[in-house]
Amino acid sequence: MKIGIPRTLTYYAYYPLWESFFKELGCDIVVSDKTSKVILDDGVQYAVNDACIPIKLFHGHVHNLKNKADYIFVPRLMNYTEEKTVTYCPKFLGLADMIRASMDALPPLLDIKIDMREKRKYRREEFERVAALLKTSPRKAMLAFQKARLHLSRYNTMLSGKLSPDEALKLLLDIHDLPAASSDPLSLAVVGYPYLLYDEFISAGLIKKLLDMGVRVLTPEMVPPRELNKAAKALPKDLFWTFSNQVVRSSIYYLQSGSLDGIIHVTAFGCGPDSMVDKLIELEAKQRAVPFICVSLDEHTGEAGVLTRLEAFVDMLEFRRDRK
Amino acid sequence: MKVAFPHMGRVCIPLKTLFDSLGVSVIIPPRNNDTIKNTGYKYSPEYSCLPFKMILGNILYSLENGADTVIMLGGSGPCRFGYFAYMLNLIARDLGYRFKFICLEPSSLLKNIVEFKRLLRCGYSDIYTALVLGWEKLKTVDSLEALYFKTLPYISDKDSSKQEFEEVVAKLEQSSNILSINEIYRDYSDHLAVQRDIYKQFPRIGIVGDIYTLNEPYSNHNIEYLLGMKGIETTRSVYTSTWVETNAFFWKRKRFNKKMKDLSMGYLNDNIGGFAMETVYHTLDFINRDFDGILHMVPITCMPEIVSRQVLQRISVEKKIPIMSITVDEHNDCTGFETRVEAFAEMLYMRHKKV
Repeated sequence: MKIGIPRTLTYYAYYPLWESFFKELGCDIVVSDKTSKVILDDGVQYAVNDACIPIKLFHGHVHNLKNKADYIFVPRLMNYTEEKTVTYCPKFLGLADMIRASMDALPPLLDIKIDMREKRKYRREEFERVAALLKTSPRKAMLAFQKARLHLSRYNTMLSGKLSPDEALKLLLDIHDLPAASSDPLSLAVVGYPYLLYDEFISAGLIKKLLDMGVRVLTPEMVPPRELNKAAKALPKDLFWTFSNQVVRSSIYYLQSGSLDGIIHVTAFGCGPDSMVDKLIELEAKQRAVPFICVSLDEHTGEAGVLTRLEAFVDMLEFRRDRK
Repeated sequence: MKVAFPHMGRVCIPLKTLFDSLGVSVIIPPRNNDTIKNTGYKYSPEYSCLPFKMILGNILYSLENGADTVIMLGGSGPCRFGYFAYMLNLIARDLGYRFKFICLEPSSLLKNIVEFKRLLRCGYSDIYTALVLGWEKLKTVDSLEALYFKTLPYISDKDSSKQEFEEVVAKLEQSSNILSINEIYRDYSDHLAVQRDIYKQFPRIGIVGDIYTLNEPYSNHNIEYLLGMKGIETTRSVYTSTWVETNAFFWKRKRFNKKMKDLSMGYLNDNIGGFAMETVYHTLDFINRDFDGILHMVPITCMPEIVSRQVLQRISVEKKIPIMSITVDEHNDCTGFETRVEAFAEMLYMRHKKV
């Protein structure tokens, strides 16, 4: 049985979980192609026009998988952390419903609900439903999920501690070699959601461009969870969205560490949670007098425009350092 | 203590009563207008939704005019509303205002009441009577509006009816006991019943969307009045009072949530926060009640409503009923808005005649 996994949104944060789960159950995995102009255009065609760019991209990736898989995996991620009050953006929660409403003649959707807050009884029911679809036993599915969780947590600890920032970036960006950093590089925190930062098409190769300029790039994935929890105390109230919490907390962590030259917030045009996230980071950066820039991406992202903004920002930081 | 709270339609009437009877003075900004909107837009994050920007404008006006305490509702997400209060607090403090900030979190409501009691040096019975009176006024003002917009298309003298309605609301604002509140409602419903032309049936539109846009006439361009004048009967899906009833009253909440989930199953399978599920539920409910069309109001960048907008498109195709979604934003280009609504109304008229 072939399971199609769209290469966007949860792919960049949870792919090890999905991969190990489906492989354990003996399914084949087809991942959609890397984001391209065609995928983006398909997405724009199917999604409602108010939606933000990542959601449109998701529609495009699902369309890309149309004739390649027996099932298309659209997770209904409700909560995957230890925190009880945290969930995901409403658009994530309603993804399966959005896809069903807008696209016809698709292979059946595999919308597994993942909610760690639910009581065991409901979780078992969900496993029974999924096992029936995948033609295995609920017990096997549950064991596979336990194993997959372990796999993911190992992957995350590797990113946030064992690997150096450069090695982690290689893994995240899926490339072999990075350009050599200059002898005394500027260190920039590039914060944003994984599905924006590591998708080379939609971010217009933002991280690579920064690396080419000889900057040391730090991303939210590289902060150990313990430090994130510590940084959370600086907020009046936790945000409700897992990815947003990661972004805000990691920015606070980097700002508190004191060795930062600047901070770049990468956001998608019309992103709801980011309206709050952006302001929180801005206020925090203002307090600590660290230069802050917000780069917003949309379906018309011109590479030159992004490059100009990045270059201007990096130049400004270099002047600033020289003057000191 | 001078309290500031934001406008949402006529919710300031019951809130003023509530605070007045507790002996707290309030600073109410004028009804939402362009100046307030522009202040809100100037200081709020670019992608925040329309309600946030309007609320920020309101709060900043009150702080400018001497308020020293801000009261806001909290929430538990995943809609942004739950973080509004904290964001307002941060932005206003960043602008240099100093004030006391009280956030009413649903999880700590009892704690808040205790805090109020200590702050105001009053008894629980005072708080209770104030709450009952405020609640009664909220219910009445919402029922008055519902009644007025339901009857408006059937009234022959539409222009003076608006004047009359405002007078009734002003009278309600003055009244200070439950008996007189009930009397005002009874008198007005009798008065409208006489004026109503009972031999006609105009097309009916259900208006769905998020609570702020539906209840705040400034942000929905006074849509109900507009349609009423064009001879269309409108029903609003969510009133402030119905929302309070189905959310704050836990004994009603469970049953309503189940009802909502059962009906919207297949279109929206989970509660995704905000008013998305309400929107889908009320749309299906209006369709079951044989409404002629649905108008869906989406404040710009509202996350839950974007999901429900896509789902409504499918419902419209499957149930063969006209549904129009309109995104409202800061550009109060009334003509463009009116043109679209008028075209929709004309189309419904034609369909209505055919049937």
